[in-house]
Amino acid sequence: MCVGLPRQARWARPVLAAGWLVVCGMAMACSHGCALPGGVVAWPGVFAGGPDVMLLVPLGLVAALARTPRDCSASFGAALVVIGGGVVSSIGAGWVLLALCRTPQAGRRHAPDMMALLLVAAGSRSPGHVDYLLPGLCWLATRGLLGLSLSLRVAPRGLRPFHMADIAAMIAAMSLWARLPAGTAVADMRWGGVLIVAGCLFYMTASWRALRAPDARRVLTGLAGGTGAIIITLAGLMLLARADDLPGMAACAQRTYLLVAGLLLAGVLGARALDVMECEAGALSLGRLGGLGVLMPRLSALFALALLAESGLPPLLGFSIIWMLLRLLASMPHAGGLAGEAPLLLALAVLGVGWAVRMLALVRIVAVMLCGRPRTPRGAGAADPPAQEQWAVLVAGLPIVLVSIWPGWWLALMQGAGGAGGWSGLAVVALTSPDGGAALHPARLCLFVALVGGVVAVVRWLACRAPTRQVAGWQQGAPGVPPWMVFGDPLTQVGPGNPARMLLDMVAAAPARQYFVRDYAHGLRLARRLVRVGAGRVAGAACWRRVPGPVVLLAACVGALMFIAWRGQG
Amino acid sequence: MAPFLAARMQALLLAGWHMALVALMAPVWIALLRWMAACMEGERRPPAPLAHWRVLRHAWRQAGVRSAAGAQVTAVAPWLGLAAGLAAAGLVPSFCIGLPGSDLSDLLIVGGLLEMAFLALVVTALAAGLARPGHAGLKAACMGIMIQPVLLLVCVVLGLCLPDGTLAGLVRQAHVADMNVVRVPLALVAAALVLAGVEESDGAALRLFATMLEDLAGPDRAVALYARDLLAVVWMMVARDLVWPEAIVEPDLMARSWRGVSLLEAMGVWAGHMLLACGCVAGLRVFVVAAGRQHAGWRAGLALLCALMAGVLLFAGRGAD
Repeated sequence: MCVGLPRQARWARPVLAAGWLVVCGMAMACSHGCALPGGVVAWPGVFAGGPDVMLLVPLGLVAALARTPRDCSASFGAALVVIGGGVVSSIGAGWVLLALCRTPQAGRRHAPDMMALLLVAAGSRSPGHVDYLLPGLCWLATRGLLGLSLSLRVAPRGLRPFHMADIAAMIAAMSLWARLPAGTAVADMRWGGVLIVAGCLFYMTASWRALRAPDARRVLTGLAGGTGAIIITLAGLMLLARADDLPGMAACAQRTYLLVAGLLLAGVLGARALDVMECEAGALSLGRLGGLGVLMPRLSALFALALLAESGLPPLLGFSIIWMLLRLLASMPHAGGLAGEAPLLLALAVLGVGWAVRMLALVRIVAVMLCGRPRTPRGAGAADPPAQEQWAVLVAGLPIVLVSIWPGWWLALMQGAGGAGGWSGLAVVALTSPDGGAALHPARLCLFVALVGGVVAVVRWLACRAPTRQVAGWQQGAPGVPPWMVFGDPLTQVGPGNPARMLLDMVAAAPARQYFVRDYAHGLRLARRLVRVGAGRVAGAACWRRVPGPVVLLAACVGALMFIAWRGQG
Repeated sequence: MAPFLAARMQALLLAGWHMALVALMAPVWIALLRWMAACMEGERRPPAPLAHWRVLRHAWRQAGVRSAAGAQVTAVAPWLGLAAGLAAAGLVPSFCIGLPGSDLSDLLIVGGLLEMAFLALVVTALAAGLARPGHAGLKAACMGIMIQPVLLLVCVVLGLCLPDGTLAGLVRQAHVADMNVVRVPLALVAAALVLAGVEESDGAALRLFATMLEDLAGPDRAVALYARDLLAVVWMMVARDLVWPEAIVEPDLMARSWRGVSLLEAMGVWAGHMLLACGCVAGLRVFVVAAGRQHAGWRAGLALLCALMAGVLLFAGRGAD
């Protein structure tokens, strides 16, 4: 990125990158049983050993490619989370949250997360007391780190732009979830169910935000929010498997969790490609971009590769994760009969709709950024960057391709010597379902697709010898851009060319939606008035904006009673 | 070693024959489907199975023209769609199993590859940045993308019926177990996939596709048209495999009987079933989907309902057991 470290500190970047790569190597060595001659200084409570230290590997790659001080700072914070004990990891997570906040207002919105982090730290110091609450607290604490929100709004204050710091934050959140202590079986089972349902809902809303985001970085933030929702779902599945004592399902969920850590590398590739694109083509607002597929073909191909990996289409890693997630959801313990299965069917329908919306968001970003023609003079002047920059992006894309083709090495690397197979897991090329009945061979799938693609490429080369005439479209001449035009104008994403509106039209016709919104607003106004009357405030009083104290007290009491009843049943 | 090599050679030969059969017959099925739809709408004319091949040949022989904006993308996207469609066609069994990629015939993989082919065609329309094709492409994407929730539900339903979730596993199971127990859920699943995946089942989607490719000529156009036909035919093949899995021959069954007759019989059955599938799709287009033309989400909603009903029937049956 053009705006990076200060000029005096430019020399520090390679040193930092080398340092992070050394940290990666040391984490790998530690995890696989190598030790220094003098032994290891154990400092229980401050540093935590264990298999999840291997999250330093993706974190090291992220930090080595970090360009801005904010990204570097977030990476350091995430490293504290990964290597630290209970209190240190909470401090590190708070640091990452602060590094993510770009304005004081954003910092204020993360105040509940900070409080939840404090409670998580307290809970880790006194095990056994609040273990039944920890999943909920962890959910609240990682809300900002994973970008989880049920909000459908895409205002700039709600949806931050995507940078390397966001990937570091996701790794920190993954580390927090991975070290969650086991609570009682009943509490874990209930929290597991709640987290799975919440994950499906978060996935759908994050995909919707990606579909409506106004610039490329925020689209990637929406996509990363979807990955965060998958992390929550997997955490719920792990809790459920632990509570029901299903080792096969727990191991499968753990492997999928590690694969999601590999999917974050696709985010690294996307963020690096966007950094270079921003440098070459100016601001990444979707109203300004266009035609980059022709202007910078190599960089666009790499960016499209990252999007394909994120999309969940075969044969890359996103597809393997969807496949594993589907098998995990199908193997969930459930009550017999229709009543027990209905939640599974509904959760799958919600997840599927979220996946469809995510795909549409990808179609939109490809259509606007890579297809079409440039819309600004700055955009028209864009070209592939110098070879050195291209190599850097290519190197950032190499890990995700390797993980996609051969997930066995990534799992063997991340599980370490304490994992199921250790280095013998390298020979494993198939991903298996929890019951072991179904298997997915990503390498064979990639080979098959490459083989068919190669045959088609040869046929194309042999058959299409005559050159194709290229003609200019009529829009490229003198006539002005009509207001209803879909592409080629900053106003492209409004009106009939708005995919979000097209989707809403499929659900309900526009007049029905208008009625619904009007009724909703009316209902909201009525509810507010009722609350005011119930609290003894006369409608129209000057202090109606304040939430009345008795109402808060009443709500808190009801909430506490509900929670006690919920937990007391076990 | 020799039997292993012989088995490999046989699998390769069968795979080549399967691919040739599917690739050659795809435009024929589409031509027959359109004829059936026309007959159902009241038109009387004799069938012309090669009519669509003639359209493709005419398009191929025309001078190639593409818009200068996004020309590089337009040049590649239809061929990508063709490659994804052919890869999916190679995984779906037609008349026999035991082909080289049969362990990859997971429905999620097949559906994902077909989705990729569909999106490649959408990108073909979007590449030039022209208003009409771009708008049509975006609308087609919105209508076609709803295959994904259907696909997820269908995969879970199939995962409950089958040990490994692949189409080859379904065929193997059909030869040893009674499929009538799960026939109705499987038929509902097939209907859901055809409704959501086959654009031929919706007149509005067909018009959108015609608009998407209106600025393209030459081999690129021919390939895009062919990829679209292949897409529809592979979805129909998937539906046929789900409804009549026992009609597909297993390699060890072939070894016990006289191979030529068994193969020919299996291919004949495949052709008959595909004709029936074409008739069903034409009927859907004329009698079912046309009824809800005012509402764009009618087709997706109906497909989702079919998939949910399949799950409900399956689970209710299990609960009763």
